[in-house]
Amino acid sequence: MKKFTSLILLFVITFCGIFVSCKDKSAKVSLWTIDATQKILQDYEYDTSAMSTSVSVSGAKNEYEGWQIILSSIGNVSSSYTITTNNLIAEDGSVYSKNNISLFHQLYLEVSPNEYYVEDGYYPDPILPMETAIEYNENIIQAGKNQGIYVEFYIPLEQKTGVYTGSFKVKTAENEFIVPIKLQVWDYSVSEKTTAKSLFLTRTDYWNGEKDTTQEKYQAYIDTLLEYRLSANDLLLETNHNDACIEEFTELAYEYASNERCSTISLPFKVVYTSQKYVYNGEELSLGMIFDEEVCRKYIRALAKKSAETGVNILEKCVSYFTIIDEPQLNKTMHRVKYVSERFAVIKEEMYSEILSNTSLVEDKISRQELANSVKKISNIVTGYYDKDLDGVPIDYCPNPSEYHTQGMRDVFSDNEKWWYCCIYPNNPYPTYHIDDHLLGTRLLYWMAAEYNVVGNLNWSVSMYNVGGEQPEDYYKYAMHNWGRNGEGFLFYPGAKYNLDGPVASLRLQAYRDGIEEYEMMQALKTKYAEYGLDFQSILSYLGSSLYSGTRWATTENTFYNTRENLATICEMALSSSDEAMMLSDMINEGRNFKCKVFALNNTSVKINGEDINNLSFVTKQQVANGTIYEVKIDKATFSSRTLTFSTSIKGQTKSIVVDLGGELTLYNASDFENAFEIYNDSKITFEKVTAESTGYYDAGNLIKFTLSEDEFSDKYSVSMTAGFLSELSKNCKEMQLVFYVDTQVDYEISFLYEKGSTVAGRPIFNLISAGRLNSGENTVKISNLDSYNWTKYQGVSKVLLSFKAPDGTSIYLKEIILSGG
Amino acid sequence: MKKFLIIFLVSILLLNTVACGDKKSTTQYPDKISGEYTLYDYENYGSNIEILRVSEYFGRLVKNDDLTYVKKGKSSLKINPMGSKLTTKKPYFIIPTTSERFNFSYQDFSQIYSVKCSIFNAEDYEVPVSIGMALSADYSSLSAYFETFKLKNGWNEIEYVIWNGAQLKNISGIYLRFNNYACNGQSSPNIYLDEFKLVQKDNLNRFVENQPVVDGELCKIQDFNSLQYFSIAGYGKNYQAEWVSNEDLQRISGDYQGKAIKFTMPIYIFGLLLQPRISRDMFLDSVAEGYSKLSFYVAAEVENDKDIFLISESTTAYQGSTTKLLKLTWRKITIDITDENLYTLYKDEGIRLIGLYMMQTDWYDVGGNRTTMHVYVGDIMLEK
Repeated sequence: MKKFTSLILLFVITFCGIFVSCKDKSAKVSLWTIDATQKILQDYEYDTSAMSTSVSVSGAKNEYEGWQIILSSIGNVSSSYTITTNNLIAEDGSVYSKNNISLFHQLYLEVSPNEYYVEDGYYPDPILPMETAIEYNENIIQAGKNQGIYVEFYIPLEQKTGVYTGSFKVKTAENEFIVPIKLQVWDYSVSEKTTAKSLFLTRTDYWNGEKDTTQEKYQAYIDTLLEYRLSANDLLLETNHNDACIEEFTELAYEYASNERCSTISLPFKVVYTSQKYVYNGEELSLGMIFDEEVCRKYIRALAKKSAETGVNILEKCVSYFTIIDEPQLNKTMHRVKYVSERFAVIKEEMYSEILSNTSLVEDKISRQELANSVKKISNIVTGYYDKDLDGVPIDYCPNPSEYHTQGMRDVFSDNEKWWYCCIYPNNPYPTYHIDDHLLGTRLLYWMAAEYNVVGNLNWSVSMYNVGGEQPEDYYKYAMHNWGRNGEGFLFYPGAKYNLDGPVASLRLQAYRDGIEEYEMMQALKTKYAEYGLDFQSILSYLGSSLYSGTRWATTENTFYNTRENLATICEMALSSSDEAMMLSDMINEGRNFKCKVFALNNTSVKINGEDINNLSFVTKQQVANGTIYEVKIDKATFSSRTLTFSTSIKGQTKSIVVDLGGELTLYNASDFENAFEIYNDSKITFEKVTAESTGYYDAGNLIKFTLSEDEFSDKYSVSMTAGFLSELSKNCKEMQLVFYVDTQVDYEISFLYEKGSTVAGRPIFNLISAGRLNSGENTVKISNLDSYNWTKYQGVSKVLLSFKAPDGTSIYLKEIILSGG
Repeated sequence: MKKFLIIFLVSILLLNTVACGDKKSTTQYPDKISGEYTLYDYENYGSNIEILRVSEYFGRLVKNDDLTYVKKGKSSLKINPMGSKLTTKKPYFIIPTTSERFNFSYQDFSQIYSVKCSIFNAEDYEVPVSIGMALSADYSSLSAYFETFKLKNGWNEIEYVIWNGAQLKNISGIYLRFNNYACNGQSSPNIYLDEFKLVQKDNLNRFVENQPVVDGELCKIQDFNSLQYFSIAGYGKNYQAEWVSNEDLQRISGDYQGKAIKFTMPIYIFGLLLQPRISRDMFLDSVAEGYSKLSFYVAAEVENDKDIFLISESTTAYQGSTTKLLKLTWRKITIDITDENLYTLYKDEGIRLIGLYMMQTDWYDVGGNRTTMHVYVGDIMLEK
């Protein structure tokens, strides 16, 4: 009996064991792919029925471009995975080496309930090199969860243009997937030189996370930033600014300035504590802290000498960021900003003269004049918003991107070198680097920078590893470290956990680099267009119009990638050959009118919608020195097509760019929208229909006249659009244009007001979609990209508000509203 | 046969369990320890090294896999202390006694007799290491009481006996402090730590006697024997306390003579916790009985009329404050410690600190501008 019992026991245990050990083999996984701009949560169940299962990437030479493979576990068992690939092959047999593909296992951080716009859950951010993930047994798909693989393609400069194909093989315990790859290599190379300036502050906390406070480890952070085309703020970890430290800094500055990817060297400064008084706005105030002027001169001298000796103009890359005048409005140090900035300007002048007259500086590699000019151009970055009190003070503003939202806001910075920085604020829909925000915002920051001529980006910390002031026990756990924003203060993760020499990077850094590479494409185009005296600004505006409005981004991933393809085509048309080139410029797409110029180098043929440009009735042409400038003018209301396809042949390949004219036009005149407005919230504004003749501004038709009355409580006057008109807007409408006439300056704002869930303390949240200034005469206000707005967010847009700011009694005339369909 | 069968069955069960279990090795920590308990064996990074706290400019801590420097198992902790090359601050790191992540909590040292560890000195010269206790949950307060061991070449078996005079209920960690090699232009020594153990006290009463108050001096700054029972907060913050040079002190007028501690307080940044303090880690009634006043000498770099000095028995309990105009002149400030609230609170079990505690705040100069602040603290005394 005992024997029998034992046998039964043996049977039970053995089979239980077998059952348990085989469970692992029943783990099932599905595979799908998605572009590099989206964040796929680890713990969210996606409808993957329509998702792609292949990888399709396009990129320029010397560019990194990514894609994502997602493995979704079905069931309750975890499974490990492996991924391999071979070389990719083009039709002509050209090879793209598999060594140019880097694979990263995504790690996830929990985003707990937050007050703004996203799902809670586990968001991907750190990207662990796949070989490290395997070494540490972390190449695991958790039971019932998603696991992202970030696929990074680097396209070498020497890679032949063309389409390469191949596949990944992804294996799990029970599944094996073949993932087709299509890589298109454009006929254009992104410059190795980074022109996008940046100062990313690196010192904070990195040592806590790494358990390593050495200069060597510190430089590993600087070097990793450079891989992403970003420059660190401090090069030397520890300095007291004595001669030895200045020399040490100079050597490092030379080393980094020699690296083309390093766009920016921060000029160090020594703080001096002082009881010195300074009169500011008639008040005598203590300065408290200033900078040591002699030390500043010594740094500039040392850098000038090193530049002259080596031929690497270090000064050309220098900017000054005096942290003692950081955020002066917040810190109440406006007087110090004025003093420090004026003194720095004086020192630059002194050093300019000194360098010019310093005959000991050898000139065989770089002229003294060039060095002296570089000193003069060293910018003086001050974070904070525009302040009238600082008018005339030699500073270069570095506000939040939200401070550049409207043309009027941008105009106040026009005399300065423009920088920006994100620090807690702003929030989506402005670009952010928050973990719970979309990566498109981070990437589009650089598209906006190109259009608005913002040359630099400052980031206050890439390694703030503490959580609420304390070091965490797990540096890969918390999305929110400080300041109420997920991901605020850090873009890296300590590499020490995985015995890596440098830090672990993030999806956000990938997005930064992607944006910078696109910025560099646009900068190259700007330079090329300028050579021919052509305007590229309107093309930037055109490209941007499908991606963002002001500095608020609003687009879809598909639209973004289509726009990126257009940018690449513009590059290929203008930059890929010295003999053939076509450049689209001076584009105006307003109301019913579309105008543009097309420059074609001699021997470059151009077609519009398949027809030779020389044979088209709406095109005039002018011969110039090395080519032809064609002028295209179209009345969209009568034009038969909603698109214009500009084609040319470069190196025997047809290149085309499609310009969207805005779809079907619906013109509303005053009679149509007479009843489309309501006074909002008892605003002191009236409106009426008047004849155009009575205004003297137009000969015929009617206008809506808005009149602003005295309002002691508000300087803003608002009307809202009625539900009927709103439904027209949200229905297949891509663009809205409003044609105003004013005889005095009027500031306007157009905002969405959402129905529900959008109030804080009982006050409605307005989503500002456009703002600017109407100048005397006719003005067309264009709001693009309406189809990308989330009309259903917060249970839908309930109102569109039209607001004006102008003196009491001002009249504003609305002539027509033009809606363009999709 | 029966035995064989049972062994066979158990083997199958174990094999299956291993095959299906979580591949990650997770250490189980007992609720209570007994005898000699190895808290850290440095076999894995996360639970042994990632949770360490290092001081700024410490140097480097990495996992070592070279068996030459491993006492037991396959790895140890490699320590390269360096320090700041521009100051004389000594580098240190803290080994926590608690972990939320790994679910252990041994901060109650009332039953701990000593801390033992094996340290290998790979240099052919002696390397001193001072071992003391971290006294607050955020590791911001370190005991001035420590013991210095001179590490000889090769393995050194270290035992740091816990001082019984301290309030031992909340010892958040053990710190190891080294000389500053960087400031002297020296290279960093190669040191290896392994087998970090907590030793439960036995029945023998082997504790160091409490330090009595001598002539009412709670802390005579220039007297190191007195100071060693004090803790000076400074870990991981932007300020750091340091003994100042005579040259620095000569600038301060007034009748106080002797050494002082200088606190450098940067401009307050919102959200950064700045709470420097100098405080005695003790049972108040064992040293302060019969005294009614706490006095201290203080001077400051810039004039300031903010409330900055407080007597505090903890950071959250009663705080007696004083408002004084501070300037670069020694002042003796006396606080009544017979206050009823204070008296009540120091009788509570949780009280363990008495001393000076500076609030996190903006520091304004006389011009009303925010500024960096240098505060000098001289002798602290109890008076009848």
